[in-house]
Amino acid sequence: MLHTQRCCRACAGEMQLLYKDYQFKESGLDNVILKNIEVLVCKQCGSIVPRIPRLNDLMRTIVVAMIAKPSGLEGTEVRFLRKFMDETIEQFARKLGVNRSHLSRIENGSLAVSKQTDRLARTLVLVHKPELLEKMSRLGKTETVLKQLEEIHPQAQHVRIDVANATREYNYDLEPVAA
Amino acid sequence: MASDRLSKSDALKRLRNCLENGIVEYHDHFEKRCRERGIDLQDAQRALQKGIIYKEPELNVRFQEWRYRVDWTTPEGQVIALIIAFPEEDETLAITAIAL
Repeated sequence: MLHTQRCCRACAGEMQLLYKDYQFKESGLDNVILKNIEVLVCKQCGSIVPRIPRLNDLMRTIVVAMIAKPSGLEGTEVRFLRKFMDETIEQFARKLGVNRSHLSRIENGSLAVSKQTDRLARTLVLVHKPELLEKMSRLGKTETVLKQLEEIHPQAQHVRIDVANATREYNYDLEPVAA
Repeated sequence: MASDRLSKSDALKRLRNCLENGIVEYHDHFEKRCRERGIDLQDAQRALQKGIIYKEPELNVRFQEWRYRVDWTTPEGQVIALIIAFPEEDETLAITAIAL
């Protein structure tokens, strides 16, 4: 809820508060959709400003969703996990037991993510960011996520991650993106 | 009347609080500017979470608001800065990003 009337920083026009689904590209991924969030829309120039509550918690939810992804990770998702850990390509490559150029090619999609790299990347994030375990527990997903590691579909698949925003508690859902 | 001018440390505290418990808004051009300036969007977001405010705020006369610059060096060594404002006590508006 807005406390005061907001004006557009592009044209100074009046902004209107709406509820919409929002493609959260600012996360660094192109497949995250925030469901039914507050969005300010300029009545004059049409600028859109998403209002994202508890961003840190949202990012943890997205990472948990990534770790629990039922199909193999894509290169962009490996990069997302690496950056979430604040690691350089060199540092992360050393942990994965591959060389820098190999990881670079994985991240830019010219090499497929192997099963071992996929599982190791997911597990490394959990080890390095223990707050994710707490987040998984709050979402009631701990067992599911750990079980999921045994059952990851070997083929990488582009999926859409929907993050629900009801009552400011985030849930996540994984849906295949329509072809 | 302009919004309150915060000290650098208070502004940083407010930013961190917004990330944890408040609201972050992204200006419509934020993503576009990042792409134009070769700034990875995830790095820009990490700058909000990890960056430091070194410079004194500047008053934007048109919108009568104090704007703060958050600096951060990515793990890869790229130095970036985000320009933010606080429309409300628990709200941060990310206006743009600059590669330094």
